[in-house]
Amino acid sequence: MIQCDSLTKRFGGFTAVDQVSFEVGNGEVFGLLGPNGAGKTTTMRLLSTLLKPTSGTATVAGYDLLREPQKVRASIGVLPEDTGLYDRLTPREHLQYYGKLHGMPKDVLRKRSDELLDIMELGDRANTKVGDFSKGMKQKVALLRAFIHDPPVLLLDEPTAGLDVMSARSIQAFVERFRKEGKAIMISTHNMTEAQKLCDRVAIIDHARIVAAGTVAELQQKTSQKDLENIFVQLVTD
Amino acid sequence: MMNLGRITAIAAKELKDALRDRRTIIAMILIPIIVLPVLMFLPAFLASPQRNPVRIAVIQSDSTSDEFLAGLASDQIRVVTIGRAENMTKLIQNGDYELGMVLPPDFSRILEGPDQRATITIFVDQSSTRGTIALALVQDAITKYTDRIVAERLAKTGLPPEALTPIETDLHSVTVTGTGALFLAILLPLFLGIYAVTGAMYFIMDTTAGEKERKTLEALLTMPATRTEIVVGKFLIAVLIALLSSVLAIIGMMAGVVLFSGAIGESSVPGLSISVGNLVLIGLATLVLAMTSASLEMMISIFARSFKEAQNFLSPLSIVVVVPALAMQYMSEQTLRSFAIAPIFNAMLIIRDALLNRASATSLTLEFLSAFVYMAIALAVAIKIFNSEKAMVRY
Repeated sequence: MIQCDSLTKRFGGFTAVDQVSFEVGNGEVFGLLGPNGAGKTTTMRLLSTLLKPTSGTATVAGYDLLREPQKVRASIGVLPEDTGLYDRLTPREHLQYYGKLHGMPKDVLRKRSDELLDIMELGDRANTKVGDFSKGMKQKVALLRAFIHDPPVLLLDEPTAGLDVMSARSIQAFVERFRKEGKAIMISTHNMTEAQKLCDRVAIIDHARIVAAGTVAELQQKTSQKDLENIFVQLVTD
Repeated sequence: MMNLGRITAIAAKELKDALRDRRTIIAMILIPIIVLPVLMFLPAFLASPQRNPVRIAVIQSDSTSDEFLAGLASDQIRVVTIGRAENMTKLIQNGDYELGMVLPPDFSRILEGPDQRATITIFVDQSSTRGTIALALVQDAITKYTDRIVAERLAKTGLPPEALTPIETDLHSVTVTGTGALFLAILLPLFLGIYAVTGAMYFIMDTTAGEKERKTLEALLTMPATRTEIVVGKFLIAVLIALLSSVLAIIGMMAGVVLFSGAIGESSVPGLSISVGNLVLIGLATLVLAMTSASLEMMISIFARSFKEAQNFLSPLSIVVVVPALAMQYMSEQTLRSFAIAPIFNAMLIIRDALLNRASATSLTLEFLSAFVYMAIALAVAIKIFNSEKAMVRY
């Protein structure tokens, strides 16, 4: 699970994330919603230890961001904003590489790779270099990379942005499947339909601060709006 | 604590990725093994008179110079007699002949006399390689012919040949190794330096600034590997590639010598014999060169925001590395020793000393130690930059 406690990040005079606090429990999908530049990606980068918070901290899977960054990294699966795949490697080679970095034994790694490639229906393309893949397929491979070591916590930055309906659906089904397995999953998104469909709870972030958080029903009540998009617009323009 | 398993995983992935990249392969294998030897030896091969004799046009005033001409022709010089009306300057400028010669009338009669001199007029374009080769061959032949005439003239007067050379020089060479080693002592540090710097340059830019630019680094940094492990894993492959490219360059050079020397007329590199100990030293120095340049390049390249920026930072290095190699030839032994701890220079000095059999324990210790200090500093800075979020995660 994730526990954020007044997480703040400043770049010089600019505050990218301001006093952000929230919790994501096991078996829960938590959505971070916000316009571009609101601080979604910076929050993700703080939780994945790419950036150090200016103040505040967070625990991820019970480990403190500042004191045990390596243990945090071992417990998370990250889908970054850009897929960050190596064009000259195949999906299987990607999974092998990152699995090894997580210290997975060879036989476990092979079994897990096969399993994941099957779930994502990438089995027949497992040995093709990803440089030739479509955006949707690349996103699927990057998602599998995040899951390879079976981490308890997942940080998914815009998992379906710019994808066609079919690819987006299979990624959503994948997330749904692992939520049921009890993972704590945090996603950042622009896509309100997706948030409404996938997330148990959402937080709306604007200008580096969380302006509202709760289940979609709670937010509906709070704003007297039905549609999440309208809720979002109302909260962000207030 | 560094985790060996993770370092191995990073190094193995880097190697696999690099070997699939055409550009790395070209920089690492093709250029050292083909381009340089061809550039070095092809001109000599093409200009070689053994393969392709020089053509000389001769205007004879009468048949008294027939005998001289017969002696001039050889398998390297082809003599063609042309008519008096021909314009010699034009013929040579057009490239019909490499050299032109006008022989005076009464040639042999002049030479028979005791005190007369015949003048041969020579036309040649000295800005052309083939022209200078032709001139050297012709002058050589004329000297030989002159020596014979002088000997005959002296014999007639009863003077011994010593009368013309009252002083003789007797040269005792104190060079430990032959001229071949001397030749290599200049070339090898230069080439090994160039290949240590350029061989892995593309790989290093790609795996640091390139990874940053393509955002693959961000995913890698969310893994449990420490930044030190990532830098070390990448560094090991950079050194391997630089080393491989240096070794291939040596193989290319040797292949060049073997392939072209026959055609040039030199049987092999003369006077080259290196002891096993010195050979080991050269190998170690090559490794040190690769390690120093790889660490230095990683340090600079990690700092760059993009591949292009890294290219701007690193390309000058391939020219800069030529400076110590060239400067070495013009420095006195004392000056050389005072530069023994300069980066790159130290490793080049080891190679040169090994070839000339001059290496001493004191200078070797200084040279190797200083090289390792530079490498450690460069790697430490590279790791520090890798740890700086400002340099690594840009917005």
